Amino acid sequence: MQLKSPKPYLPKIMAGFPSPAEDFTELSISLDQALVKNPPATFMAYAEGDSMINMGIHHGDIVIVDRSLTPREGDVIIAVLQGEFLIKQFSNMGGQIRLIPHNSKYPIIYINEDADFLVWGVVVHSIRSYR
Amino acid sequence: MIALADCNNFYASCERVFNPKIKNKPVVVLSNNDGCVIARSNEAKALGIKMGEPAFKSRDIFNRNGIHVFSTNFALYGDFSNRVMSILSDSVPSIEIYSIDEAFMDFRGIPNQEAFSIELRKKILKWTGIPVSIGVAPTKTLSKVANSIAKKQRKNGVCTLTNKDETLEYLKLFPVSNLWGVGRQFSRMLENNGIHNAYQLIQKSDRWLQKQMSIVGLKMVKELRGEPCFHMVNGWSRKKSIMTSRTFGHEIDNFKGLAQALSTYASMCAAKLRKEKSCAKNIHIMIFTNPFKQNYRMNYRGSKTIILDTPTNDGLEIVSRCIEALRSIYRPDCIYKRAGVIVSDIVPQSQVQLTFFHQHAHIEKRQKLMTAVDKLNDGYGRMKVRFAINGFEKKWHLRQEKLSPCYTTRISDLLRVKC
Repeated sequence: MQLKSPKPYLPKIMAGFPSPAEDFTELSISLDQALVKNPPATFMAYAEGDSMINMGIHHGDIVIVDRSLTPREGDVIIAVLQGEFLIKQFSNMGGQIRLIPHNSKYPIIYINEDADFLVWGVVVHSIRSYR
Repeated sequence: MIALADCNNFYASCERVFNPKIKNKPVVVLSNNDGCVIARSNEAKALGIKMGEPAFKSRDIFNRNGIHVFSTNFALYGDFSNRVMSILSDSVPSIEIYSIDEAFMDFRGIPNQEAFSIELRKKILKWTGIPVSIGVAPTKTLSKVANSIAKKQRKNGVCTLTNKDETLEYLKLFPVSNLWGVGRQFSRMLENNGIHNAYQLIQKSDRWLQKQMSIVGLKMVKELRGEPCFHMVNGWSRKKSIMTSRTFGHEIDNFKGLAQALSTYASMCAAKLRKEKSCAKNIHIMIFTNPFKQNYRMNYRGSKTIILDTPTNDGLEIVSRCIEALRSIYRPDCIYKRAGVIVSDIVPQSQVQLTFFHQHAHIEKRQKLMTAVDKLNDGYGRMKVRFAINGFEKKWHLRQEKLSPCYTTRISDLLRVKC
């Protein structure tokens, strides 16, 4: 990930008239910029497992995580529970934190007040490769 | 006002971000080649692990106490350093990056500096997972003192020294050996003169201080008295680099040849730095195979960044660090076509001398040697006098047995999370 913005693409002009397109040069599209709003707080990880398949996160997908965000109801997060990383949907209805899987094979995890738990970051994108 | 932000046990903290299991466990990081301890978590400090302790001697202690041991992962630490520095520089008018894990910040015009610092600290912890301490004071030297108080005595990680009487009380409790730039030699001399704390030191006359500790030492003491002598150097203005890179006349298929080429470029970079009277903190090396030749099995491009503790323009040091780095990226199954060295994060030489005056004699000696080398080369042609890079036959490998993955700089090394 780059912390700096990309340079604009400028065609090389040898001599003669300046290119009429020069004044209209725009930055090429940068996936970094489109997907990473806050570079110093953004990290990537691989998702491993099938507990989130009904939300569209599959085994081997890359998730993009923004640590600067505070999770809202329904966000997908990377949590740390008893020293283990987990990707789940976050819920805090009625003051009860729950980690919700999106595959009926898996149970909802209820977080007790004294649990060794923290929100590591909020998942903002996931990327899947098709070939 | 000047603030110093310093990451707590930086290397150990970086390792913990991706390894929450070791949150409250003792952690040590070993130097390049797993030689000795160069970083410790608080828990490891409490167990009596010392800096610089040879790893082979401590193996038993590590095992007995369940200490988590890591090889240095500079790719990871460098990335976290960039993140922390970029947050700092977005938060204040200007910063001066002092080392991989500390930066001075210009706090002029910032109201309620204590509350601002507490918020900044929280932000860095949340965004990056790295805990920092912030010391705020009228001078750089005092901000170092404030930072040390913040680290040891403040739960919120922030200490602001604005009140003069309060500052003096702290200086009475502050041992001279912990002062900025006071090495073993000076602290022994001061102890012998009955000066044990910073308060006693500032009572001394300017004449005595200059005689005993040089002009730099006097400046440091003046700063302790609250008079600014070391000024901020804008951290971004020196973000330039020097590169030397060549395509070889004949392709190289052995380590020795590649090492020779690379060390030549490295000493050229060092000579350029000396000409500019500056020093570099980062060294980057690159090696390339020939991508246009189909008959070679491998198309390989290796690179490695070295971050120095002390910025340097010492050719000897730059060459040896390059060779060391080359060992870790060299592939014997490739044929090489091009190599290069880039030095970056460049600071004025005068500043390095100032802030590292405890090594003054050593640096001065090396500088004399380098000046002599430069003079000879100016007279007899470039690179006529060079380093005999020998000892390659020894075939030792860089030992990095406990290297953590490069979570942030290599896509194959990304954290894997269960879902």
